[in-house]
Parts: sequence; structure tokens; C-alpha cells
Amino acid sequence: MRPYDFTVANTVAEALGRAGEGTSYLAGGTTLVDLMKLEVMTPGRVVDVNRLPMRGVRQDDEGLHVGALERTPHLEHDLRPGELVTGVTVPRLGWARRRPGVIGHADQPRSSPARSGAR
Amino acid sequence: MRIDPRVTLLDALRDRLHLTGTKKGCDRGQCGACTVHVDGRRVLSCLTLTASVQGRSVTTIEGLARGHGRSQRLHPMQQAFIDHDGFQCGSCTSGQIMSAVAVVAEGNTRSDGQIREAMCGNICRCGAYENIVKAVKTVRDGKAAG
Repeated sequence: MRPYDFTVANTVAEALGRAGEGTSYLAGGTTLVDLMKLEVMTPGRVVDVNRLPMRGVRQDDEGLHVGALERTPHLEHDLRPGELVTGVTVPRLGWARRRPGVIGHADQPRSSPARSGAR
Repeated sequence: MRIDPRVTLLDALRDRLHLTGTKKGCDRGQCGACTVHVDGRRVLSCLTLTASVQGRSVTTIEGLARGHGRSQRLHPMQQAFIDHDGFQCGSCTSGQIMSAVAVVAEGNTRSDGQIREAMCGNICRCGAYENIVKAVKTVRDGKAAG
């Protein structure tokens, strides 16, 4: 792994202030750390955003709101079957994974049994 | 402990703290052998940066048994794995047990199928799955001897 500076963001403003080329945000880490080990990703700065208050799932007239740091299994538990096809991978990866990361990376299931629906 | 930000929790546990009960299998989040608990939730220590767990509570297989010395008793899940022969070579076992403890706490044990799905991130190349499921059910039902 290439060297990098590690910092923890305690507020959204702090996290945004450290954005820029060479910065990666660390949420669940199951993709980022994996790719950093392979040196596919080589950020000069890693900002841990797990302490930011960006959790929770709620549904209203506008639609479904998912906190950017919500864990995948929480999202699955909070939804009814058929509301979202998750295609999530292994349960333990799920606990670390943050939902938008999975969506953003368009990750595919890496292990059977594949899941076909939220519960 | 001062540590390079690149060091994973797995390497810190094994190489710095000499807690070698947690095993390094694939080192890329696919086998589950390195499973530990952070604040009571199971994580893959090979994909967790040590720096990111500062101030958090980490529990490894070494920390499951209760008491000390002669009065030490295995965690019920450890005892159940022994009683049901839930392993052969043992490489995956600490990860299996850490996951199994968490699975019972999560409540994902209503059926054999649910247990298997919840445990599916822990690979056992010896194929002890049948007996692992039996061990999990024993603890779920409060029948373990530990």
C-alpha cells in the first residue's frame, strides 16, 4: 500500500474542507482498502467519515431517503420486500458496507447465495 | 499504540499485539477467517484500518472466554463448536465462531437457511458447515454447555 495521511472528519464541513484531488473518503472501506492494497487506488489522503451524522432511512412523499453512511443490513431491515433489489454480497461485508458505496460502485454480488430482495 | 495508517486491524492484532487467534486467510475480504467484533459488530479485520477503530472496542477470539485461570470457561459458542465437531483443520474456526456469536446476537437464526445465509461470508474448506449450523442452533436455543 502506498503511504497516505489519515485523518478523521468530525463534521461535514471538515470532510468537505479536505476534499480534492488525492483525497479518498473512508466509509465502510470494503472496496477502498481492498483497492488500496492492490494499489489500484493510491490516495495521498484518506479521510475517515464514519463519525459524521449521516445515518438513517426514511420514506416520505418525495421518496426514499438513505443516509450516506447507513449500513446495508439496516437498510434491508428497514424496507419491505420488493422495495429495493439489493444484490448485496456477504452479510459481514454488508455490516461494514455503506449503502451508497455499493450503489455508487455498482458492485455485483461476489459470493453466493445472491440476494434478490430486501427484507 | 502508534501505528502506520496503512496497517490493517488484522496485522496490528497479529504482528503488533501478538494475538494470533485471528487468522489471515485471503487478506481481501472473501474468506471471513479474520472476523472480529468492533463495538460488538462483526467486521473483517483485513479490510479495516487500525486507525479507523481508535477509541472503539475490539473483541477477538482470545476475548470470548469468561474468567481466568482454573475458573475460566469457554464462551458457549466455543463449547458448542467442540461439542458438535464444528471444525476440522481449524483455520477458519476463530472467524466462524466470531461470526456465529454475532449472528445469534443479530437474531438471524430463525431457520437453518437463515443461519447459512448469515454465515455465508465464512468459508470452511473442510466443509464443516453441517456441524457449524448445529452449533449455532445449540447456542440459539440456550443449550450450550459453556
